[in-house]
Amino acid sequence: MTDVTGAEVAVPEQPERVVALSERDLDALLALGLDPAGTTSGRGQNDVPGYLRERADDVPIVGHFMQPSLGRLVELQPDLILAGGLPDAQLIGRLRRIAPTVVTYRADDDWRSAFRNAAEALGREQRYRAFLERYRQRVADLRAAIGADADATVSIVRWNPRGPMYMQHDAFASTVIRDLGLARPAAQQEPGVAHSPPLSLEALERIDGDWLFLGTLRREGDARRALERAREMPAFRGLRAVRNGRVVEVDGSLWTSLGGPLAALAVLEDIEQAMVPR
Amino acid sequence: MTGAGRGAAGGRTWEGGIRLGAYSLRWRLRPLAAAVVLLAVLTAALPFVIALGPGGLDAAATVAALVGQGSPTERLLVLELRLPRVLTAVAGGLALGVAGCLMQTLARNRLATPAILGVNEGATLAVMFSVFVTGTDALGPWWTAPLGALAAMALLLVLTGDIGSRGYRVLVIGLALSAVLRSTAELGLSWGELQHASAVYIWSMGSLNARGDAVTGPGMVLLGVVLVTAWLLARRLALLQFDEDSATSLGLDVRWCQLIALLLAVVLAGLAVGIAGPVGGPMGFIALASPIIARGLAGRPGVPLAVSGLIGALLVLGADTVGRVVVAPAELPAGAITSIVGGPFLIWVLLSNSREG
Repeated sequence: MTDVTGAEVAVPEQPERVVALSERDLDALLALGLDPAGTTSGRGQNDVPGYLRERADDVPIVGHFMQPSLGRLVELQPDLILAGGLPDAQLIGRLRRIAPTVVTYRADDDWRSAFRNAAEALGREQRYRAFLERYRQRVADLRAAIGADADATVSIVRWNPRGPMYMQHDAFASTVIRDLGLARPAAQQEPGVAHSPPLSLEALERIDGDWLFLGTLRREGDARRALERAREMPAFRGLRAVRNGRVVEVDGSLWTSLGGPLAALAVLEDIEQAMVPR
Repeated sequence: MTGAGRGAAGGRTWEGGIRLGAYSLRWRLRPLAAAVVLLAVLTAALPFVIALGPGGLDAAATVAALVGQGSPTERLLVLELRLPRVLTAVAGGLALGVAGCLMQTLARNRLATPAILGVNEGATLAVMFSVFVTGTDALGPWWTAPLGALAAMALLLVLTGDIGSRGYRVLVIGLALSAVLRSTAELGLSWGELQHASAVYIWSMGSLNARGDAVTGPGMVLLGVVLVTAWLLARRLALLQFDEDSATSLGLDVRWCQLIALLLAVVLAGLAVGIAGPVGGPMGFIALASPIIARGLAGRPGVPLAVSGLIGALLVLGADTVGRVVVAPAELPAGAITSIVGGPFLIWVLLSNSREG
């Protein structure tokens, strides 16, 4: 197959020992029902991302994202490497000497195209289509269940030590929200797949919405403390979402990640928990 | 024909030499001995360094793989993955050490490094452009960075016109140019897309993981040519250590010599950027420390180019190896290790400088 770098990769018919070098590829592997032979730790973390930990806690770690240990990779003897999002041609060149390497996405591609490329590399298009169908069904059901809130605006924010950053229009969680037919606040319409710069607390009204989904990358640490401090401030307490009790704390490493098929389901799960009346 | 035993001040610098008609080759024994020992240490260390890390190799298996024996897996690990990386460390360190030695000799200042000429900033800017202009998030080929370094150098020469006494004019304008280039790069990064910025960031960390494209082919030929040229110039460079009038009276074309030394230093630093990543931040320590250590080993007077280069090679190799092993299977960039060691070393240099008056 041809990967996103334009390289022609000779992938094996039925790859069995597959290493996923990015979160997204790991997510795709698990969603397609394959046991990963190895993976890297998530951004700013020392382990696989939290939302995948239950399924992947025994997968060998071969280093950080973008810095895999080539020696560990050789030891694992993979027959296929999925290396989405790697910017470094030299590194990709080395990987290709170890095993056929498919670069499944570029940094601004969405999770579906990355998922499709992974499925093609693994020869599991059938399961890929079945998964997407399941996702569509889940979205339709949830949309119906949300009912009265179906035209609510949803703000998505990662708090970092320097302040809150909202996710841009085409970021992963934003696309899931859009699939549900929910809107983002007017202040959060800028294009892009990443997040805004950290906002000053004076601009806090830009994170407001009917609903506010709010997370930090890690459960403890500076970002957490910054968020705790902000919560005490009148400007934060004055937000509409706060006054109405519609602030939902979520796992920032899931909601503000690049995402993947299982991540999309996990985001739907969080939304259901928060927004569907019981 | 040969003579040995006549020392300069204090009788500590032993010399030897050969004369053939009008040509003569002279050497001092102490730097020579230091270079031979360092080369031996470096060569002996290679199999052990390559064997370290995952894969279960030992030095014997490594040597076997190096000469084409052993299993395909061992040969893959040794020849295609670890050897290029180790050669990258050695070549990068060699270039940095010699570049540092040239700059310190030129400026007669132990704190002068190629980093103050804007070389690093020029390289960073070029890498940033390669990411932005292509519109993808991919880094350009390895020679993007050296090209940027040379462009910065060309700009510097145009700005200065004349390199001035002791190259100070170049150094001062170089500092200003670095600042301008650095802010341009930072402005570009803050305007650019986030994923582009993170690709540049990965490059800027100074990790040698998966590096090696630069140590094959033209890069190495260029490095060889520059190193030999520098070595041929070494005796003239030694005269630069005197004040300008004395050097001129000894028959040295001071300006010309300074210009060549500067050019060689920049080309070397540019190559080092291409081989091993940015030299200004984390790797800058190598260019600073190698000549200082080399002078300690080789003794004064003289310009210990070869010894500086070998020390640089050992330092980068050591930093990369430590970074590869301490937090395995993750890695610390070699640049992080040199930064940790570099701070205290710089303080030591400053303190001992002030003691010397």
